[in-house]
Amino acid sequence: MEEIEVKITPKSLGVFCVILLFCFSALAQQDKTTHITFAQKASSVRVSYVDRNAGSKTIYSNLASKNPNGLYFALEGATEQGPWWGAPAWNAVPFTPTFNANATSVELPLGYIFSLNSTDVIVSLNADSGGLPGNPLQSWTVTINTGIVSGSCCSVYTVTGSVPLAAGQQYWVVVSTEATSDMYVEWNLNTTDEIDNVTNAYYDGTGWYNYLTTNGVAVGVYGTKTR
Amino acid sequence: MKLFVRVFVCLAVIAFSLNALAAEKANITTAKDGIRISTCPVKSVAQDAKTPAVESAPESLAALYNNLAFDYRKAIYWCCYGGLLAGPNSTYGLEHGTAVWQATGFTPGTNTTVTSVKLGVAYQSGTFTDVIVTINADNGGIPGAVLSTFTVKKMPVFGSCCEVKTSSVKGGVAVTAGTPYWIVIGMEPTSDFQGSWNFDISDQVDAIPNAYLYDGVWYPFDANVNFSFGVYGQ
Repeated sequence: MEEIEVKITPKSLGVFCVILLFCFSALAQQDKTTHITFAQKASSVRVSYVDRNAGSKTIYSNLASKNPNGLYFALEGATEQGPWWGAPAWNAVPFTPTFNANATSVELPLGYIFSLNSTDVIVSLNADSGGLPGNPLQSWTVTINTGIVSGSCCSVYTVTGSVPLAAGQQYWVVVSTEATSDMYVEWNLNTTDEIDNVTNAYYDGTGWYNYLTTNGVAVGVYGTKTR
Repeated sequence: MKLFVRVFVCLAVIAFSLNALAAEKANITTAKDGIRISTCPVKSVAQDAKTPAVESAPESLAALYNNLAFDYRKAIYWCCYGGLLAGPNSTYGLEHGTAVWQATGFTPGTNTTVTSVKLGVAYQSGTFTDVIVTINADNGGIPGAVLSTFTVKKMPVFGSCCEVKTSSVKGGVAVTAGTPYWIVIGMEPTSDFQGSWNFDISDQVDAIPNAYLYDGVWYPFDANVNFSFGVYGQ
């Protein structure tokens, strides 16, 4: 992409100030139902998705595995940030297995944006509690690859474990942070369904809240069928 | 101190944002909520009504190039971001004193005749509700001579998904294997149309040539998130 010189003019200064106000406003509000967007950068990683779930059953997935070069949308995601930013911004996506299963892996895309000291996020599979994320059934500390910057496609983070799941019960995949984290990443949006409303949840430090969206975050849950 | 650091980081992020905005001029991205780019959390807006896919790829025709994600009929292209299309009398056109056209390239693998084109294109504002689509030869990495012209009307509203506009190419356009060609979306000289050529989502890895027309000059750029389109022939 060509380099274009930026000149400071009264107009660009005005735009800068608007964005600045916008930024401060956003910091103050810390509205976690938000999405963040980024222009593609030359430094973004561009790799085809490699499906390593052969032999596993898909318990839930909105990853576009038929398009290994378009597994999720690289340029937009839900804000994931640690409390250092003023308040945490965590997100969660629900799923309901149609069969009894043992979840053995979870895949999800995260694009690195910024951190000072923190190096990871926490991914967990949670029980449901009244339509919101409940107790974690298993948690994983996921080290963020700072080379997989926001705007990259199509690599995913994979965690493996063993979590028994009951058919017809709702569960949640949650991405959160440690209590003092300054990690800031985006959880990319899915590219399989922009039409149907889905319920996602966010946590802002005061509690979990549901929100409806047609652009939910991307995730895949895989495992084995059990009796 | 902590607040100071936060503010500093935010400023750094904004600086990155401005840099990205400058770089972004290469494809002049537009978003349905009017926010072009932000690296700080932004408030979401209510989603527009979404429409189901109503068209599918012509099964009888071979795709010379296609990035429309027909495997996922509820996400054929990205609903909410794309390249700005602006007539000279559009809101953007009047503000900046220029029309903005977009173009994307394709190179056929075989000698064939292009008979139809599919586009993920959307209307945002204006009394003009059509765009002019051309198939062009290549001129040193930017669109060259016009080989065929047709009009696309009745576009879906920007922010919706996943209606695809299909146009037949009258008489067809003979294309040569290994030679680059362009699909260009432009407007009439007095058009106030403003809209979007939505981004594709099926291939965000491979870069293809793109170009935009600004102040009457074509600026080429490569991107891994491209405009959504399919070119078909026989």
